[in-house]
Amino acid sequence: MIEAPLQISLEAWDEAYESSGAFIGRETCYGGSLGRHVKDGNTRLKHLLFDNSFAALNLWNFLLTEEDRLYRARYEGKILVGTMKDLGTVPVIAYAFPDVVAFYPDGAWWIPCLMEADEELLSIADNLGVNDSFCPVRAMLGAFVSGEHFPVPDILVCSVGATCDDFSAIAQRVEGLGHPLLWWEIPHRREPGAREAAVALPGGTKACVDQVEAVMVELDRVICALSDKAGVKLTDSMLSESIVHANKVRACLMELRHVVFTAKTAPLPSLELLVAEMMGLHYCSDRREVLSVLSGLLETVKRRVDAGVGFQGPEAVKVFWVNPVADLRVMNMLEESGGRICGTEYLFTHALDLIPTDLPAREALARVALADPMAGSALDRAARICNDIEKFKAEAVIISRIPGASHCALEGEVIREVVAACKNVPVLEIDVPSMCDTFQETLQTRLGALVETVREQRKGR
Amino acid sequence: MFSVNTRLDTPKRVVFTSPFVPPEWIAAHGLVPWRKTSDGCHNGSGSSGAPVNVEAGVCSYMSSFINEVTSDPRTLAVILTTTCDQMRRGADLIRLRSRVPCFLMNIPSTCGTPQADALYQQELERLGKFCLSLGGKRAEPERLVSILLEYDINRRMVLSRQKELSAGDFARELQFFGESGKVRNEHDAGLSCARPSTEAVPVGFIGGPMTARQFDLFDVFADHGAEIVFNGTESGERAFPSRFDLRRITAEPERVLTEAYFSAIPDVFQRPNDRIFSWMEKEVAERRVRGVVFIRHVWCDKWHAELFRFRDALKVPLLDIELDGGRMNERTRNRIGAFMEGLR
Repeated sequence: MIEAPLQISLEAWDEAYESSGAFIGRETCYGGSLGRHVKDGNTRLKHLLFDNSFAALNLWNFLLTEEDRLYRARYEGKILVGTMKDLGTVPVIAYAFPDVVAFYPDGAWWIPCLMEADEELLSIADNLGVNDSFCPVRAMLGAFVSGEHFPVPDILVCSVGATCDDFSAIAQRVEGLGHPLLWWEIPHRREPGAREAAVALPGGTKACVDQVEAVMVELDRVICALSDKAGVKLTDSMLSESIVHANKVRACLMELRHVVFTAKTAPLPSLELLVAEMMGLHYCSDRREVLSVLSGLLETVKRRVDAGVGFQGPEAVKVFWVNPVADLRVMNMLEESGGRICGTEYLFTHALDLIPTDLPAREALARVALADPMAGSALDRAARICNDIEKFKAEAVIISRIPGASHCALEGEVIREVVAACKNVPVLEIDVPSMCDTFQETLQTRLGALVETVREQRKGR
Repeated sequence: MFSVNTRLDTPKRVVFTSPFVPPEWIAAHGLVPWRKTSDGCHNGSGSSGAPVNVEAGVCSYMSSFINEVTSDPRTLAVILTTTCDQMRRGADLIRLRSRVPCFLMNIPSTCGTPQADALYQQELERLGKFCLSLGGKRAEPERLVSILLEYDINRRMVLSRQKELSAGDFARELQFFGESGKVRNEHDAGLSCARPSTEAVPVGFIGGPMTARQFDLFDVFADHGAEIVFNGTESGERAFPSRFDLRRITAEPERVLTEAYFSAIPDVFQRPNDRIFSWMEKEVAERRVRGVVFIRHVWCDKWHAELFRFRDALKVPLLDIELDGGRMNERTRNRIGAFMEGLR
């Protein structure tokens, strides 16, 4: 669709879909109108604004049909691996096996948003004593009990150690319900000592060799368990091939991010970019198709940049966003307030950085696992954010806190303090629960004030 | 025999609160270990003069602890552990806002694997190097053995006092031992040896750490006719290490310490965390407990999430007490009264 980029409502999308005929012959097996997903319960879509490109339609359809793919995989006799918390490492191992599909049950944390606070999932969690003092990932517990949002995996693999307490606590409860978990340790990544052998990690941090070796041993346990389940011995070449594929996805995302963040006018809304970034974690359960989806999006974005078209004028305020939002609607609010996305750190940068290919495959993955921003100090996160602010010339930072998440308040303070000290940009911290409707006005006012502040600062320069 | 150096005129202490940090190891490196029980007087945004002041949304125990230790001139260094988000991120705040050296000790969450043991041992080695960087000296085997023996004896001695003391005084005695590695004589301590009546209802405590102020809770329970027969909070005997295998201490000190601390102390953060359930069920059965009190802090997800399972696993009533760092309120007192009435 070579039209001016617009953010349109679900209704407008469906009308365009029905009337244009532009999609005939381009449809995928998961294609169709967006509106049909509302009938599946994803009612939040009615309140979102979407990019009006075919590539974006494809992106959304791919995202919203993952459950179907998982059930189909089960029907076809494939092994389903529920990989939990590590965000990006174990899926590379799992997809190295033939007929294995990996997904993150963690993704259930968006169900209360997409289904507009689906009372069932949250009330199940409530009844199990996991109330709203926990982060929205508690919906995962409800999903395991209801068995309605994803098939129960054949094996569950969960990283633990330097992870968030909410998740660790809820995963333990999942195990307590009779779903055995293979726990593997991710140690807190520390600054190597002066005389310690150290190695570089993807993303620019460092780790001591001892820790990398420890994670390799842990990943070996994961590989053994998956080999047993799949009945196939994993060879180095299988793992290397999987890394090559993962890197294709990551390279595509890296380019997409770079083009979006550096374009004169925003060629893609923040919401679609968030969805695209998430697909790097586990390929939305189809590692071949994800590449096609993301390549299509990248192509569209490049075309827009070449044509000099975008969503807002060049006056849009460049915002760096920290942490994923529990309510997707808030990303729309950024553009509505006059901002555009120019840098992100959604707690899974290690799933976006290229996996080293000049190392033995297991070591490369161990380094990726240790590069997890949550595994290290919040000071490391802040340093990377500062670098990216510089790189993408962001003018403001928004730190969205996840209500109930035990790490957010402290990490937010650290990041805010470091950014304020190192970069002369305003920082706004906001709380984003699964449904922001009741205080949308307040939130919009705060985002608007941030944009105004930056515009005032521009005048002074 | 070497003596554990605890005189108050030795100004600098290596302060920690986690039970997974072995004080013997620090003492063997020639420094003064101080397992601090937070006073609970210095937490949250109300403490404007605090060096590491943090806003709302954090655990009051962590907040109080790091503010107390970083504002105390007797602190040489602080050791935090990775057993929870709050303490782990607390280390970031100390590094950002304080000049007190901070060592963040990685305590593996997985347990029962050779790899987890190895990780803990590596951390002990690293802790040893940290002690050296603070001006400590190498842990000579003879010194280490001597210190381990002294701690072991004192630890057994302090535990043996449980039956003589009220629960509150016993908790204070454990606190004194944590700070000094020593046991007070009764005269110095000024402890009450009043035992509950034979009609007292046996009650157990389980949960996270308690501040010194919160030890008053034990007295409130006692006033309502309870006899606290075990303290399974992080401030109680549940968090004590097992006895050391002294035959191997010279050859492999880190391994012996790992077995006594990391492999023996049951805790809620461990994955899987069956050990703490087994510990509690055993205590409840052996001591014929009729009710259990569950202690947790606001923002402590790991204890909070397990409340349901503890309740489910127990065959006796459980009272959940959520602490927020403030003084005990009237509502909590009433709940305790009602709970005890139900048990009698």
